Amino acid sequence: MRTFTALEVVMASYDSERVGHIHDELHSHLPSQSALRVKSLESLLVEKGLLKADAVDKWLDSFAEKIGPKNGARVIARSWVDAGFEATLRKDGLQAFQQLGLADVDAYELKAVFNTDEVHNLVVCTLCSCYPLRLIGMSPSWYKSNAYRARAVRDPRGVLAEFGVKLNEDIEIRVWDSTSERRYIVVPQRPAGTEGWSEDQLAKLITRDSMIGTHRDLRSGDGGA
Amino acid sequence: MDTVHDIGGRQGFGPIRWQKDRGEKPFHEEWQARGWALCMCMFAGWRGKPEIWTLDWFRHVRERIEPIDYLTRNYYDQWVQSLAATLIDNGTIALEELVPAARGANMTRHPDPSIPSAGPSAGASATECGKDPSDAPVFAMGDRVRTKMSIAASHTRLAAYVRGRIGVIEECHGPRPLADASARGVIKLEPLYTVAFDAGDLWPEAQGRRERVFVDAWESYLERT
Repeated sequence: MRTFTALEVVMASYDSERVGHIHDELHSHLPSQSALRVKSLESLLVEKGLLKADAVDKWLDSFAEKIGPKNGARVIARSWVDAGFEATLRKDGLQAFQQLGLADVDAYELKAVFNTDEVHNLVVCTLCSCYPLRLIGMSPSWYKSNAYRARAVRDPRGVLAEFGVKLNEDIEIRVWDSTSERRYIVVPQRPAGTEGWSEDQLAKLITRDSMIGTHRDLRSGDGGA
Repeated sequence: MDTVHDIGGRQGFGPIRWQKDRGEKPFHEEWQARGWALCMCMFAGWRGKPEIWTLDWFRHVRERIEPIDYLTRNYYDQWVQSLAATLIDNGTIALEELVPAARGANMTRHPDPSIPSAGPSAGASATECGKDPSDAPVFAMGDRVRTKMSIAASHTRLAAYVRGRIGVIEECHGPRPLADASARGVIKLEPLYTVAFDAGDLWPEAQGRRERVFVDAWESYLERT
């Protein structure tokens, strides 16, 4: 019996062993070059009328335009200057993004975890690569690396030191492993010397890595570099 | 399922190579962006249709990549291969259309007999309420809980490094779709919690460290101590 022919009705098997076999076939027969793999799959889907020829380009343009770390930076900067907004961010991170028009209603539940003088937060996904990408854009590739996923829960202080974040032993590290559909964002501390700054100025100081927790001390002199 | 994806706490990994991501550029090569956008375009058409796809099923499909590929191939390459496997499994495309050289070994559907409602019929009746979502959660904030030791052979979000460990309920989130069920096309609501573990209770070398790890866990992952 031929089996992998396209079915009349599209329906997942939810059969783990079956996909194991399919991966085995793909492992043996797909071209080894990654770019070629993408191209052959995209071409096939377009050819079969399952994907519009410009769908991928349009999707990328719209994502790049709307979503990125700067959205998270805007939310955090607002929370630094507006106590009511900070309370919202603490209670319901997604709502804070929505209030600034930076999130769809069906994005994820978002938990904002706040750094203090005594506490540092770090986000990881040990089981795959969960990250609030619909709110703050793509995660960096190190976030998805085996080394980060393996080590962040076991040796967070050592990991942070590699990123240049040297923490005294009396500072508590809280590691958030994203194991459900909830997502995490770290809220760094507002740097000293930024009194009276505008939200836009403040937002420029906030880096992507500070929202993951691998950057701690934002500095007014950095100017958002 | 205990495959290599469950990597939290595994030792022997070297430094985290974060330097090349310093510029916050989301992708390093064009094919990565295209591969990822291709996945997003296909997912968009499948959201809310558990007979075809769930995100947890896709996660499981990625977990079934050959371990050597999982550990060595580029992240986005894995997504593309998992998308291909998903499309072949659900009958959108045929294996031979994508890789004409493939022989298509006997690939009939063999749902896991230990999963009562797996298989094509599972998706058709999308919702299964093992527990009335209005039922009060079993655990409350501050309760000490032990995570279960044994897990199903299929998809789960109870990571190996927190199995059989004692933690404290940090937060109760109310009913959320259980990932283990979603990965077989069944939407089953179950109370979700955030559980805090002292690093010293997870790792032999971490006694006395001011470090805690927080994971989200569904009620069926937990028992009273």
